[in-house]
Amino acid sequence: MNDPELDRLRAAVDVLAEAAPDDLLGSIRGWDSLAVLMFISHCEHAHGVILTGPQVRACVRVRDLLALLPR
Amino acid sequence: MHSSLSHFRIAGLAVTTGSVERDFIADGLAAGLERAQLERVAAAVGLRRRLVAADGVTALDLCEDAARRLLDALEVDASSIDAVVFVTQTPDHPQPNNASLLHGRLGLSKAALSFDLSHGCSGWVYGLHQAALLCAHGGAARVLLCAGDTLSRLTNRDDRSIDPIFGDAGSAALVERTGLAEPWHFVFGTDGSGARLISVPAGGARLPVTESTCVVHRDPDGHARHDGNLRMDGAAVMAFALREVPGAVRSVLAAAGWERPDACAFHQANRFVLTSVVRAAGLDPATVPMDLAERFGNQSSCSVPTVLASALAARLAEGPVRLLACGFGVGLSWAAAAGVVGPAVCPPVLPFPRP
Repeated sequence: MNDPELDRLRAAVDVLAEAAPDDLLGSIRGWDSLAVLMFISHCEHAHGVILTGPQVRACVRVRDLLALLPR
Repeated sequence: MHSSLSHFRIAGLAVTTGSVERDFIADGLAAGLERAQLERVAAAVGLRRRLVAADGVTALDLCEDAARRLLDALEVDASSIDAVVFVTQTPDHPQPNNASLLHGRLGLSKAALSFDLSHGCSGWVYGLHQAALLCAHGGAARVLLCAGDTLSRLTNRDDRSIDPIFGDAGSAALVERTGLAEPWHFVFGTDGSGARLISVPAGGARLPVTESTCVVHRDPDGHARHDGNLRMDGAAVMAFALREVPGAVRSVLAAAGWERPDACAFHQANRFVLTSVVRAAGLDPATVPMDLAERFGNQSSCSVPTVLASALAARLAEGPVRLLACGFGVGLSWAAAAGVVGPAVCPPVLPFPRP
């Protein structure tokens, strides 16, 4: 099933361009401090939500990132 | 804190950079990193070239050069300066302060007041506020405001999370008392709960430099540093900037009664952070120079002056320009100012020593 939020996330964070919800962030090539910044910027821009570094670093899978976004 | 001050103007401003060019891609390749990853970071963050100080050159030297060039350009006699405010977190010594050392080098009047102001990326706006206070209420007719840092000296070469970011530079601005009643508006903020997010733990009274503070450790991501090195939690600082800076910008523009400024001089953290902050603040990106970190590096307290003396120099020379200036960083602290600048003299940005 299409998830528009996942599509927006894929567009906003370059290394998540082909990511699936169950993918482990630690196994995604390029998931690094820059990717974390891209995600924080995306959350603020798309949702007005300002996440902290620990919130993002605590995520294990892509679906954990999606869970941080308001639906 | 909000503050409004009038009866002062910025007569001119000069910036002197370090003279040693460092290239992000070349340095990364030399460190054994993959070109593709380096290109990705360079494109996304805006890291290309930076200028760092040559061996033995300090922020004091860079600011002295800027001050001499500025006073020459303005044809101002150094003996007419009533006060020196020196913004830096990389002074020559714990004692005496850089302001006193610069006072001696320039041969200023013994009646002059001089002090250092310890702030980083928000520091130029703090310094401008102090200089304005001295003009508006402190009996000064001319204040030399210097701001400069050599943060590239504080990073560990093996800490790729932060070492490629910083450039070194020093600035000098001449702030003068005038009869102009049009006020500048200032907004300041501090979040000391985040003080450790940007820090150099060792080297002060709390943790003096010892053999143990010089032992290099690697963090879980492999970045190497010792306790005397600068470290920064980039994600937390990004969140801080997005949380605090847009509100400060809106507040200072509301105080000035401006829907939008003519020009903006933001701290040049890097293009990625700046783009996000400017977007969140609702500013027109076309009015905000954002590429200075790609040319000079993140210059800490000198980045706002570098915007003024390079990207905005021609406009300031013609003046007047309704300017928004904004810095944010170590402290954590943020500062925004809105006021009219120009005509103002801005000599060219030059390296020191000159080629």
